[in-house]
Amino acid sequence: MRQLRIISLLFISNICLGQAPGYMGKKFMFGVSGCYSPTYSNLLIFDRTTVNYVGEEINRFLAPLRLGGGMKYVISENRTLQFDIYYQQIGVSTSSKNSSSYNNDPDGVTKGNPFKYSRASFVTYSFGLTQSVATAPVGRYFGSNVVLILADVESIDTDNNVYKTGNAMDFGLNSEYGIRRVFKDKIVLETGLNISIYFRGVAGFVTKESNDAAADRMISKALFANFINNFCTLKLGIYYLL
Amino acid sequence: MNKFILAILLIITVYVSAQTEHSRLTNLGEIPEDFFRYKDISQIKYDELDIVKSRREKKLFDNFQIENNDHLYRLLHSGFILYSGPIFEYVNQVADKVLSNDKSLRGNVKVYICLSGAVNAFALNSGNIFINIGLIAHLENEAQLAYILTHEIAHYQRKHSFNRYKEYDKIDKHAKELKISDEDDLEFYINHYSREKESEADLLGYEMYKSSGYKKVEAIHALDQLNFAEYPFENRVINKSFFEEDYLKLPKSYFPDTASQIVIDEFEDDSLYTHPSTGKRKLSLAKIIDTNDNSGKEFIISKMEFERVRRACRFELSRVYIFDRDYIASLYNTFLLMQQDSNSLYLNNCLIKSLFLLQSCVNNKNISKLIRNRKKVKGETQKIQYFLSKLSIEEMNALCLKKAWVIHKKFPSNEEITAYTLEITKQFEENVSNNLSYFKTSNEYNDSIIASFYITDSTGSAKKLYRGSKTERKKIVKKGSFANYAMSDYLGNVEFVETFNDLSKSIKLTNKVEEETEEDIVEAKPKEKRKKDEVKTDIKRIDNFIIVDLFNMKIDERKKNVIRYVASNNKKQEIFNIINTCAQKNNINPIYLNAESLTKGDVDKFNDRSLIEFWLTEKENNNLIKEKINIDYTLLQELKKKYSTKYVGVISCIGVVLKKDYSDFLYSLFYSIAYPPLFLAFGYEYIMPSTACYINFTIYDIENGKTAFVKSKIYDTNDNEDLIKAEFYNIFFQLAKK
Repeated sequence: MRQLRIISLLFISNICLGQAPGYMGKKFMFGVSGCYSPTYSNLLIFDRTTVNYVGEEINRFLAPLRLGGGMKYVISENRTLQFDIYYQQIGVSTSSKNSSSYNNDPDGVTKGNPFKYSRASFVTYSFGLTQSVATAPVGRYFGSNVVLILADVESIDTDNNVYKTGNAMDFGLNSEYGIRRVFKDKIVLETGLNISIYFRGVAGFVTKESNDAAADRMISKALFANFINNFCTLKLGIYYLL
Repeated sequence: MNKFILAILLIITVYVSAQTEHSRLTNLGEIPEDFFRYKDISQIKYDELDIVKSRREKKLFDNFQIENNDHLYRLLHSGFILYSGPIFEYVNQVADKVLSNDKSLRGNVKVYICLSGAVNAFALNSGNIFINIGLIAHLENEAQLAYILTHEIAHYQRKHSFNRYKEYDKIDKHAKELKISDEDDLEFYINHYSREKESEADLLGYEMYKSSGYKKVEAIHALDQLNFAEYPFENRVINKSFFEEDYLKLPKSYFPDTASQIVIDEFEDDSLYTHPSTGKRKLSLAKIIDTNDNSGKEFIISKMEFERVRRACRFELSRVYIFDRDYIASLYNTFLLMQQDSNSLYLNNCLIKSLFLLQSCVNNKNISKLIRNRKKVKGETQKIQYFLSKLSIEEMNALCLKKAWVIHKKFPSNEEITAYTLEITKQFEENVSNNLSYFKTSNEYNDSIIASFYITDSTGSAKKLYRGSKTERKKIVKKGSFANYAMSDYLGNVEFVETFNDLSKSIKLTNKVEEETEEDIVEAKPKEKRKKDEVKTDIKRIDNFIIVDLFNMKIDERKKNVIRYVASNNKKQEIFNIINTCAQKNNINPIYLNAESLTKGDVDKFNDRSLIEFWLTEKENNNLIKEKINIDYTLLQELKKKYSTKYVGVISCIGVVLKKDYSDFLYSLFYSIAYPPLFLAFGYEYIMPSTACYINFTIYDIENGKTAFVKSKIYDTNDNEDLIKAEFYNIFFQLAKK
């Protein structure tokens, strides 16, 4: 704990020293951003990812949209520290043609599985650093973030009216590349490409959260879907410069 | 009787004033309106009635006048133009004379003087004519100047400048039919056209000239002067005695008695030149001039005035050549002028400067770059080239040391000469010896001793001049050096001995410090490599500095006219405002001497800017040596006091839209199909134009000529306002926090 305090102190003092020029002296910005992965990619891998938890089809173009907000602080000539929180909700099919051998079910996973679809909500916390080619925050940039994901999954057996929930945590790394422009000395527009890898999402099929196989399957599918959805996304952010 | 005495007094006054010490040519009075008219390059329009005949030509003409205005504005503010003073006034009087019958034409023609050593004059479509001082220095009389002026006026009258531009476009358009494959072919055709127009201007100019009252045959003589454009204004014999002093005697073998004769081929092949050969031009003029007709005058305004103006130009050339890095030309020019004014402070000043720069070149082992192929150099300067090629480092340093101290003795109170003498002494100590015992005493010296040192060894093995040469060079065996005796007579000079010993101590100290820090420098190298885009030097906070130039250019590689003049011009004002805001936010107060910030009454600033521009041009062009002292030492010191800062800043910003490279298109398509999200990224790259922006911000220290701060970087984004703001704010932030 003491070490953490020292590290925090060093970190804060570095920021407070004010050695960063920022944009015309402005270093702090906050705003909203969104990440979007085209549905087309999902369709290639999962044929029925764009359904809600009762099996109804939902808007394919809106499903992979992750919305959130965050703040950034310019800490040196070219570096910006950033913290973002995102929220995303997707429909996940727990049946899959590709995973027919799952649970040693020779006739297919869905047979006898009442929880065919689930709804997964993800809250993503992202913390990282970006490096600008020009003086931060303007111009092209590339950066890396560490990501913490909290997933809540719920499903319903409509025939028996049984409700099932589960939650899980995932970690990941994210790298981003993009360009930032400043308009009217106040508004920062950020566009970029994000590539993320979520550790448990990659190994989603072997997740074991509880003794409930159906819940585990739900969570695994959700984490994997989240990984696929956010592996490569386009980012758009609008921030206010203070 | 009283009138007679007054007249004599007037003549004496004029004569005395004519012979006064020359000083750097500067401007006086208000800056003319012309210098501000072209600020907005898209606003000034020329008369197009006679020359524009089609819509295409109209478009071409619009482009041309914008380019022309831009060039003119840059030229007028380059620091190399004189708009006032005796030379300007005299040349304009001659222009008045030749155009006395055409007042409206005179009203459109504006003649300026250009501080360039090139024997040339040129006219622009806007009616601005520029006469180089190098040309005036070569002329023999006023009539010749008058003919040159009429020739240039003819260019203006016939709009040759635009016609050449039009022709260039026409040839470029028909490049395939004309089998033009590269720029050289294009130049060949353009030069052919230019030669035709030159001949036309010769004849038309003569039509104007013949009615002005000047001697007609001088038109042909004016062309004669162009034959010697590459040579000094006179070819007077130079001997080694010019470099010799008491106890500084040079070996005979170092200085040839004769030099190659200057042979002019008046009918040389001119196919690669913009002007016809002088022989052809003279012949075409001779057809309409009666060479036996001696009517007319060589001087109408004043012979004395002409000579005074020419003298000023010739004097200025010594300085201009130094800034052009032509130290040998400067040395010879100074020699020529010293035949009449050997005690001129200005000339001695030029002499010590060119010697110092030559000494620096020798010490930096760059002298070979200044010495041209002896077979190509004709005339007396060939002797200097030969002499310099013979001198060893030791001998060159000794020669410069002796000459410097002799000049210093002549002008002991002159600050600039003292500074140069010190630097020359320092260089001697660094490169030859820092011990006074190096010099032999005067008792050991006699005139024959030097000759005995340099004996041509006829028995020794002979060397060929160069591979394959049939001639052989006789080997000179050195048994001693004149360098050891150069300062023999100064060993009793207290000032010399004290200075030499003081410098010796400081050099020893510097060496010691350098040895100690050598390890640090080696360690610091990888760091420098990592930040190759950006070089910073340690300086303290800079509160104010002079902004001397703000260069902006927008380039679009995709278009035929690559440079976007109007956009560049507009962007300049935007950048100027950004700089001002960023400086204010960081409590830095720049002093603006750039063209955009000058007003009519800022003649002092205009002259100061000219001084700095000269210095910067020399500095940027000079890749031979890194001199430790500024060429205009005294003037720059005064400038430092005047503005209370020793820093001078130069700012450049270039925005480029690049041509798209579609060579990787298929790969991109493949990757996009394989992984669709990439489709948007690649699509963005191919649809949006590729851009780049280059920003350079350099601050020089005028005290020592070093670069105090540099930020030079290329960004792969457009030169957007936000990028420029961020970068300039950052620069001022760095300057302020130091």
